[in-house]
Amino acid sequence: MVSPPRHVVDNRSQCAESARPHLSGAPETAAIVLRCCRLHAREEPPLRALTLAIALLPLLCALPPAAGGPDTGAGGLPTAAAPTTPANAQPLRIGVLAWRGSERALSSWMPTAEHLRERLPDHAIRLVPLGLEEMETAVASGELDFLITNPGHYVHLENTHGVGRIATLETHTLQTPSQALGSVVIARADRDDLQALSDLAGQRLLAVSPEAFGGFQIIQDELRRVGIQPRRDLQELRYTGFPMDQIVDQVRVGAADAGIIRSCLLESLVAEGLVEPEQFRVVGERAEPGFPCRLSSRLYPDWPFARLAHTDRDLARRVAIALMEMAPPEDSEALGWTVPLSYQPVNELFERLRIGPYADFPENPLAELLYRYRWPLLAGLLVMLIGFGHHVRAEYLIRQRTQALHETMRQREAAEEAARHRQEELAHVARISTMGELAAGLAHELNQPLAAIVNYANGCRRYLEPMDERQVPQKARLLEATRHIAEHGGQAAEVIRNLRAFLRKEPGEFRPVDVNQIIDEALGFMAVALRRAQTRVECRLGTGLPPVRGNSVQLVQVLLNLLSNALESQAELPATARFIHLSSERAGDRVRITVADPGEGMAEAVRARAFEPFFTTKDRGMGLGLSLSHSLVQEHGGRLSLRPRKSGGTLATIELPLQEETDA
Amino acid sequence: MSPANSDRVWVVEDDERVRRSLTWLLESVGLAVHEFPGAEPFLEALDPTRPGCVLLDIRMPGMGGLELQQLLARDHPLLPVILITGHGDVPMAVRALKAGAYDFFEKPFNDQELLERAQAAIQQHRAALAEAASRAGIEQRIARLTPRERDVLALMLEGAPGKVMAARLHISPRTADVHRHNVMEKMEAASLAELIQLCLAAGLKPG
Repeated sequence: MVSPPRHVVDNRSQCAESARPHLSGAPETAAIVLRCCRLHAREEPPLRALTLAIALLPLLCALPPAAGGPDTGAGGLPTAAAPTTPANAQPLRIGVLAWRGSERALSSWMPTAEHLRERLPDHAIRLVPLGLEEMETAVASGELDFLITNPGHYVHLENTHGVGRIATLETHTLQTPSQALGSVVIARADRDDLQALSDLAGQRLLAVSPEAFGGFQIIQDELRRVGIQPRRDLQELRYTGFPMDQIVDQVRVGAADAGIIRSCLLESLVAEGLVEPEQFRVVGERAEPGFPCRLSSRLYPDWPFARLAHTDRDLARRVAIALMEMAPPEDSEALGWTVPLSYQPVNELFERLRIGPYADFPENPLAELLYRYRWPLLAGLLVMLIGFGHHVRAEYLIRQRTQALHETMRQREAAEEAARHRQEELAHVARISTMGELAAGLAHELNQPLAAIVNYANGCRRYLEPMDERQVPQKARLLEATRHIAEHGGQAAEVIRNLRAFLRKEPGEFRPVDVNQIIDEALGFMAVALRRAQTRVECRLGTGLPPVRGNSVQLVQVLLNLLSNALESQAELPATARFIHLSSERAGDRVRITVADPGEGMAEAVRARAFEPFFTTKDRGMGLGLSLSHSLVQEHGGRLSLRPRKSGGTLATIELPLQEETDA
Repeated sequence: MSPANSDRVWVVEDDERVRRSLTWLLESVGLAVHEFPGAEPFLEALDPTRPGCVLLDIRMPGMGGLELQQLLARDHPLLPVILITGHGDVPMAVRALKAGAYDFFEKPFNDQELLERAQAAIQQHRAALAEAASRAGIEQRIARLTPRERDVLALMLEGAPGKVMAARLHISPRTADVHRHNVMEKMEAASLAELIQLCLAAGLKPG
């Protein structure tokens, strides 16, 4: 995970043996590693490295007493002290993350250590290679003054132990130190099926550790972006720990399908001759302009140089100044330090992954919020539900009542329609039957004189016939005239007959009819007129009356005629004296209806002619009402009669034959 | 067409115009007409023993034609009633015919038909009266017979000879002959055949 050693000369000399720290489980040999002058010295790298190694050999060999011995200076931590440390120098311990092993860690940071020793001669500079957890333990116990670690680890320690960066590594081969660090997922070259990161689903993946930044977390974030959750979607996720090189080895032998390593490690290994570039493919490769290594991820700022919380401020400032002034080697690939960068991108990554300082943050802040406020929310939800329920219920009730209202209105309209229809029917029948009655009356009135004319004419003819010409000289002509009179009279009668037939009262359909129902209906039609005339109606209707045979419309019409006559006859009476008595009863094989009024009554002569058509005593009557009623009742096989009441007024009686049971 | 002086046509019609014209028409063929404006005066004047017929208007105030016809049918079944109707009273006339009316006519009349039917009705009435009268005469004769003579008459109608008759009645043949003679005398019959005819006319059946 260390960024600087873009190219590190792997000097596994025997001298390094003596520098082996008694780090727990660290297999590497601690060694002072010279910085390589050129990062990508593809050409003749082994030669160059060898030369450097030989040149530095004496120096290296001089170190063992300081670096490899049971150093007590850092509380048991193995350190690599820079050479030529003054005897009275205060120890200055710099923890470095040993991502490829202690040896490489020490060699990587030696130039920096040298530089600091030069600038801070009163301090004994010691490099302490540490793993991730070891470094955190060391920080917690205050055994270090400064540390160099990867950005992820730094952010973690910054949040947990208050370490503060004072510089950021700067590599001149890179355009900017803020785009310096990434990760790459490698697979064997023959794994054609692994192209994009999403292809990793269901595969066996290797990583350094859950806390490793370049060795896991960067790719974890990239996988998250393509929808892969390692624990859920991978067949296997195995952590190897440092050094990272073993991931490359295991992928190569097929112990895993793919492995996560930090960027440029592959190139370093190739440069070191440890692997062949053709052996691997990069999964999910992406291009970052100006970045010299293959990548599967975005880029993050380079490693920071950080002080610990307890580190003396003055010392920290001096170190920072020294770092800034670290003379950039003439070689453009060399490492240097620049002003501390923002590690916000790392923070954001942690936040996205809910790790490091954000581990306690809920994965889903909304869910956390919902959980925390579950009771108020539930209460609110309940209130809303109740409200909604109430609303639904109200809607339902409104709809139901609206429907009921519609139904009521519909029924009322239907009833009104039926009443209107009935009234129209009645009016129609009244019109037709009045016309019929008119025609019948007219026919009768004309027919009588015509009959007389014809009779006289025929009589004349018969008187003439036996006479001889001498008695009646014009006998022939007179006979002809009398014949014409009779003939034309007959023709006139025929015309009337036709007219009468045309306007014949409709016979009407006869059905079983409930007399009381007829009375009710007629009273219904008369209600307004009765109210207006302030006339009360008293009914004594028989119960259980058998049905009569009749046409209800015609019978209603008869009753209406009688009722309106009864009403008109008492117009002169005071309101309190006005009444109409209605009764219905059975009388043998008939049903009798009576309509009685206390009105002016009828004179005997009037009553005798009451049923004649065109006979009327009213100023504006046609004289057809009673005539029509009479003939309608007669057509029913019944009888209509008028009698004077004993106490004044008229009693009209209708008798109707029962519906014969065989007819029903 | 030779009306006897006793013949009568009774015209009952409330409308004077029609009534008078009818009379005029009937008299033109020599019929004797008695006319009435209503049922009541007619019933007072009616002499049902004279041969005749009644011309009756159906539509009349008071007692209507139909009612009067039914009354006549009950009291004077032999008297023919011809109904005169205005237009549209045909169903009533049909009812009247069923109830025993002789005929009906719609106004205005075909004079020929009316006169013929009226005269036919009078003839029928006359015959009926005669028959009734003769039946009444025969019945009177039968009434004069003694019980024994009635028994003899019954046996005579059966055609029983004198000896059989005597044996059946437990009398001597001579006595039987006397009875037979008395029966013939009282029944005013010249022969046995005439006696049988008389009895048939009176509704007495042989045997």
